[in-house]
Amino acid sequence: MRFTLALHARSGRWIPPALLLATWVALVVANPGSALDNAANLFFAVLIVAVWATSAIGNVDDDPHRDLCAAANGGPARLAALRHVAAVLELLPVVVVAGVLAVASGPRHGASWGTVVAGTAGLLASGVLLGAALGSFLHRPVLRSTAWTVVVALVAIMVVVLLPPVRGVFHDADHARIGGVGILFGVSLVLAVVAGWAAGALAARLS
Amino acid sequence: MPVERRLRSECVHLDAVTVRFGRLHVLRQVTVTVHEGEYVCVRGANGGGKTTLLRVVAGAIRPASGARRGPARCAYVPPALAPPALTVRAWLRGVRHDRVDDPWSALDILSFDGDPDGSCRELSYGNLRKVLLADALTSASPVLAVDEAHAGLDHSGRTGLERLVTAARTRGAAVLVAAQDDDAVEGTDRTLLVGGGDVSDVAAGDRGVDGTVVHTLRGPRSAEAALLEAAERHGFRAVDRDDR
Repeated sequence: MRFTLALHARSGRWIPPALLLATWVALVVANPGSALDNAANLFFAVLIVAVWATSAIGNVDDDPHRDLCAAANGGPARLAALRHVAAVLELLPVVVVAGVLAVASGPRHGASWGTVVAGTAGLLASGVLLGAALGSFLHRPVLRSTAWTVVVALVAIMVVVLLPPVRGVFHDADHARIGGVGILFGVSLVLAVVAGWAAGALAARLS
Repeated sequence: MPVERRLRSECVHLDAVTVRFGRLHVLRQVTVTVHEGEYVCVRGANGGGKTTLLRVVAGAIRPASGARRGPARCAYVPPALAPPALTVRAWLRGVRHDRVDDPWSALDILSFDGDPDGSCRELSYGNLRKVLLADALTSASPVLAVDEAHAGLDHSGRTGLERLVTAARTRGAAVLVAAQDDDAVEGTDRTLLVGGGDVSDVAAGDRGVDGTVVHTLRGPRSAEAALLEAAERHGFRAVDRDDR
């Protein structure tokens, strides 16, 4: 995983999503709502960035180099799963920074510190896990065209955001409540694990 | 330097393996066994399936049907790749952790003359190949699959490769190399001829171009014409199906 992260770091492909997240965070900090409202706002940015980063990590090398790495790591399925986990690990410190800024920049509006911290952590972690789950299918060998990756990613993100449980969470966040965040995080965690396994199986079949 | 032949156990086995790319059957019901310490040359026409066979043997791809029995972690050297944006040192340190030998010594043996702290992208094709070979041939993997073994190598590189292959075989690794028609690979135990979706298991017998001869042709009859053609091109004696 360190090797994958080093490849991604040196490729420079992390720069566009990092710039997008930094811009989004700057906009949120410049026009803050409540702390939980900010976190809900950042959820979208983290979701998009996670999809982008995960698909970029999956495409970090060309097919022959991926074959070399697959053989060295025990097969294409295991390699895909390792890269899926590497993407989540890469995103976690980024999300911690974004979360701290979201909490620090907005008033709590009567919510306790515990509620704010738990809500922010749950929302942003859900964004990472859902994004990684989607992104793990959006690179070679599953999708070989960058154009299709963009189209499918946009559609998938819109579908996720419009799902009633996700919309409910944002309604709660607007009112300084975190009722559905725990469920969202649990579902995201399960989806991320299942997606990691399924993407590996699909990579093995399509390689 | 010849390696002493001993009775060794099976290292990797493909059982009725089929690989398809879309509707094209690159390998069709192929059964191959490679033993520990064995040195196998894979030959065939362009597009015949040499690379695909090596990728399956190394575990880099999973066949559409059939089974591969062998170690999970193998060393595979592709014929070409886009050099990663890492230094040679960082790439060799990170790409695998199961080494039995120092890759820097192997690079010396291969007469590598690039900058170890320079980017892989700044290496010539030949020096990049030497880095890939040094990585694979110093790994602890029991299966080493090298595509286009001599591609890009100068004379000292080829001599060094022979030394490293001998060392790998001595410690029990099975070495498979794919080679073009005019590329003489010395000291192989046998040759696999690949073509028409089939692989003929070519073992020792009357001496052919590189000391081997076709003594059996297995697989579907539709593949036989391509295999016979390949066999003749290499100077092998092909035994007709009806004579078996």
